[in-house]
Amino acid sequence: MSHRRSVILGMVTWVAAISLLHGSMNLRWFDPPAKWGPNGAPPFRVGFLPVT
Amino acid sequence: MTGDGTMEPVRFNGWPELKETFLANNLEATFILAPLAISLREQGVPIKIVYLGHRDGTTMMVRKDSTVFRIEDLRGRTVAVPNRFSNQRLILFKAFKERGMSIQDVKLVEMPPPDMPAALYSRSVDAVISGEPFMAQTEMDGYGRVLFMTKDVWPEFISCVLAVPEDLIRTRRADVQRLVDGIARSGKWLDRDMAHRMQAADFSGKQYYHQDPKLLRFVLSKPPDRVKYTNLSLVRKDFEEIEALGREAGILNGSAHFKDYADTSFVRDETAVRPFDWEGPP
Repeated sequence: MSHRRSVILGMVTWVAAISLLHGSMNLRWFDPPAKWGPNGAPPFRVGFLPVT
Repeated sequence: MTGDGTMEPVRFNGWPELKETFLANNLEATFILAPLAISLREQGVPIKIVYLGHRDGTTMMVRKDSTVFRIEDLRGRTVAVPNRFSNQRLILFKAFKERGMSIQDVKLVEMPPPDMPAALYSRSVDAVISGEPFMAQTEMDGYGRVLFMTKDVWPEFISCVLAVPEDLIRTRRADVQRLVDGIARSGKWLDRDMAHRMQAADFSGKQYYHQDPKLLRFVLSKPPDRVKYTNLSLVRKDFEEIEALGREAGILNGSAHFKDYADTSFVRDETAVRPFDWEGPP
């Protein structure tokens, strides 16, 4: 494989990997869908920090 | 972590992540720092505060061997606060002002509350201030000493408020009401009996916070008024005081007022709130 080809492949791999990581950690792409209630009620998610 | 029925608690470790998730419409409601909620409203975010999370419950800690014994001794020291838009920062601003000092007299650093005990232990900072139980953790582990509790400097201190997107009040009012009622009734249940607090420390430590129940029992009892869960209705004068301090401290611009960011319609009469009838196991 030529040097140029290796660099391009490396760059593409890097951009794909960092994008997936960003989507996973910050945009929650791979989180399970929010839970729906027993009667089809939409989820009600309440954010909190574990302080008082 | 799942909740009961459609309520699903979503845990965060820092305020910036929580704020971004709320802004991305991935939360229907959130507990959030009071000045941060007001600031978001000032920036045009359609957010409404509907109830408080608790009163007091914040402590400032220094190391046991520190030479800081009074608030005045903090001059020239490094102090960790949870966020620029926190009442923990504003209480310092207020305490310094009352003592003829300025916030410029200390070096403030922002730090997620869970990181504060280690920072104090490693002497990266001279003092830390945050909501419990992270402050009590330093005390229980033997290297932290209480400099002050908010109840002694700013009685009935407000840290976290419950906030929802404004349109949710129209589209899902019953759910918001159910959440507020649950907080109000469980708060009264908690403050009715010390045994209830101990019971709550056990199940919330194991089920929700994933923290040592011994630590939560300590926070909820030493002293019993370290944190309070009653009187959680929105009181205009409390928020006007936060607004005024926020403007003086330069974190609020004064373009949003109580009527803009608060909705008091969910609990109109605090005295009418009845505690839950739960009883602990025999």
